Amino acid sequence: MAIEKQTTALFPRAVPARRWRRLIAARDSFWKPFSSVKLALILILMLAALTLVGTFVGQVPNYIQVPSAEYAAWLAQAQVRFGPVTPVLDRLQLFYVFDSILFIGTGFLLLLNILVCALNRWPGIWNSIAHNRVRMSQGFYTYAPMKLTAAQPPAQAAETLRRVLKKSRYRVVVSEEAGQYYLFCDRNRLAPLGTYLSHLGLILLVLAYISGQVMGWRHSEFIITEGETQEVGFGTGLSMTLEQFADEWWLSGPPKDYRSDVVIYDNGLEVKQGTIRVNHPLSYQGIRFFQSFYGTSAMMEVQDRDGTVLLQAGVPLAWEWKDRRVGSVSIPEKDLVLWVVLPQAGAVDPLIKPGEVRLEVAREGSTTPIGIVNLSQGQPQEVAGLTYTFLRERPFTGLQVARDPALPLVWVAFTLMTVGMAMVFYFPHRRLWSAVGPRTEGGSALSFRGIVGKDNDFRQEMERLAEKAQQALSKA
Amino acid sequence: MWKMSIYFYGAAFISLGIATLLYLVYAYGRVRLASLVGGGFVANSLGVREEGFQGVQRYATILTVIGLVFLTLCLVFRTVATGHGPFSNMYEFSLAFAWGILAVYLYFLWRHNAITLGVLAIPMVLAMLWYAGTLPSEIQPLVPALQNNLLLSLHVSVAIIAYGASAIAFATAMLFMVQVRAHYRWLPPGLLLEDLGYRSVIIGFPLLALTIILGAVWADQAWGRFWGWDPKETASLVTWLIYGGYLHARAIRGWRGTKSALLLVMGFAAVLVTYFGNYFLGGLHSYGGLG
Repeated sequence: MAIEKQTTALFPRAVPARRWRRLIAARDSFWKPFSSVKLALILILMLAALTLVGTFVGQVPNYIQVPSAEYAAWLAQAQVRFGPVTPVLDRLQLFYVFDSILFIGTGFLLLLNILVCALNRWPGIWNSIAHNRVRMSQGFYTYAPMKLTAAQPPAQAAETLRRVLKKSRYRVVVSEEAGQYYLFCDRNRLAPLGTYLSHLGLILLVLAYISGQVMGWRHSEFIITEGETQEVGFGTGLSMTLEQFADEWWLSGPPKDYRSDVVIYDNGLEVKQGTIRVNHPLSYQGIRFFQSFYGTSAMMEVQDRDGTVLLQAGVPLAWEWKDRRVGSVSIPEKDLVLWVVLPQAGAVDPLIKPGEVRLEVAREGSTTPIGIVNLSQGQPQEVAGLTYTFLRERPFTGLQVARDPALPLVWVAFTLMTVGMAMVFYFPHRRLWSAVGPRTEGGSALSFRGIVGKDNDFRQEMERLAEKAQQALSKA
Repeated sequence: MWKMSIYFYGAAFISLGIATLLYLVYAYGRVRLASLVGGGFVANSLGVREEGFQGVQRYATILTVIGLVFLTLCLVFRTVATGHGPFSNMYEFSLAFAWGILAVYLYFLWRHNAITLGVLAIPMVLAMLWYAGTLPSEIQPLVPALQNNLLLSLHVSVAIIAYGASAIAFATAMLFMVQVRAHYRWLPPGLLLEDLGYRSVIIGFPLLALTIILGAVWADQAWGRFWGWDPKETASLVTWLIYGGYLHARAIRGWRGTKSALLLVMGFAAVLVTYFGNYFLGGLHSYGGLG
């Protein structure tokens, strides 16, 4: 008889469930509502509803501050679409729902809810992992869904069963009382901890996202004209030169590749050369450069009457306005802003001939131009005392520059979520109890009951195990 | 290769079309049988074993398996022809989506003998194949944003299994809601349907999460942020939250059953919104819309 009595405790001491609960909960007015799964469900569905609103109700672009004159103008446009509901949507902050008090508040309450539920469930989960009873009540076995009989006496049948279950990679604990044998078996016993991993991952993800927003920064429109150098800013001391920008197209029309060959300088010293392509960012000291957009710059030169060059630079025509490309540049020492306009490539424009750019010169902060001229390439013209020359067109590249120090945390969070969910759903904790006792007509009777995860349905696995056990018992 | 892919598409369509007819005959047969045998459920499992319907059931299953083989070959030839996974436009997505529903259905058929689900699942597959047939199937080269073979294949292939599981969960929910109202003897018991719905969600929910995670990894590489509240991202978040809600709802007394089934219907509606979102949601995923 190879069965030895074992204790069910794999860990030295049981978690004192009552003390835990008393310690943590104290059943105060705060704890109780937050320990409810119903609250979790309500909050999850609220978040889903708000996210749905954010998906379908046009959201204010990131570059518009709320509140501001730009936002008011944007809202006036939204009025056309949403009519009289617009003020209600605005009041509920649904035009920027993911920054709204409602969304952030609901998210915060859900995180709190997750934490409280996690702590509340701990004793139960830990006990299901580490302190399972080997012998259950008599009724548990009497109404067990699976029953077998064997010709062998109980000790032998129990041992055969133990071997079958062991072979099926179950951990088996056996105890014997007055000629009755009780088996407790389980698999994937750490699976319940997966729920902690996945929820912890979720909390970590939210924290990492917030940290990224607070500690990181992003420059969404970092534009460099070919041959020029731009400061990255944000106190990095970095600058970047665009050596060359190239775009390639498939013969059938769609774009094939966008490439920016760049050089990075750290406080004036060249530190890195590389090519930035879509899906292939360039990284330097945690700062990453992504290919985002591209376009044409108009190379402009501005001289004063003494021949002093006030400006010689590319003006990226990065905006579109009524089928035209528009860019602007300031000349602070003269308090001027230049607006340079070019038709879209291949378009016929009644105001601007091929080979020309339209130049509008205005005082800083004013919308009324003090001079408008069409400049032909290489032919200077004077406007309000300064000489303007359109030298040539050159490509520019539009990059996104981002630094997110919390990114490693995001990957950890994702890993925890994935592993946690896989543990809970794909490798659930399977527990099986069996009683083996003598039959009056000789031999023994075996009964099984199993639980997988939180569900009582273990039918298929139990059928499979019972079949194996039956075969082994018949052979023995 | 492209032509081979089209031929196999046609073959899959025909075999699944016939399978759909057989499933309808099968459903009709179950209704008839139920009226003949009187009280109790027709079968204690999801399959009907009674004389007279075994043939229909067997041929429906065989044609479904053949349909899966043809559709798999269609996708394989398409992959060989394009040089990347069949996931770069709506035509390819739709074929892949149909494949996902079919694969998950056959898994449930194999594992749980859930043939009644085929009455809803196979017409859904057929509808998806028909829809794919209305889209341009010419091979277009990949735009730069999609030129990431590994992540394109991983992100979308995980998504189609998740979507397939979601479609099966939807089928169980619809049958469940019919069953709890009408108590038809020809339908499987509500408890079994409820259980199957749960089983499909536990396949789909982690995969949906993985889809979002792989999308985030890709977004970080392509656009420099792992999450940007892009409409397609938020639509997939809505889907994930609904299924997350469903999993929590089952732990609440009074929420198992019709309320949970409604969440499964909402979840599948959200999947469809996310899936067809390329057309009307705009944002950074809109390149996948036509083409």
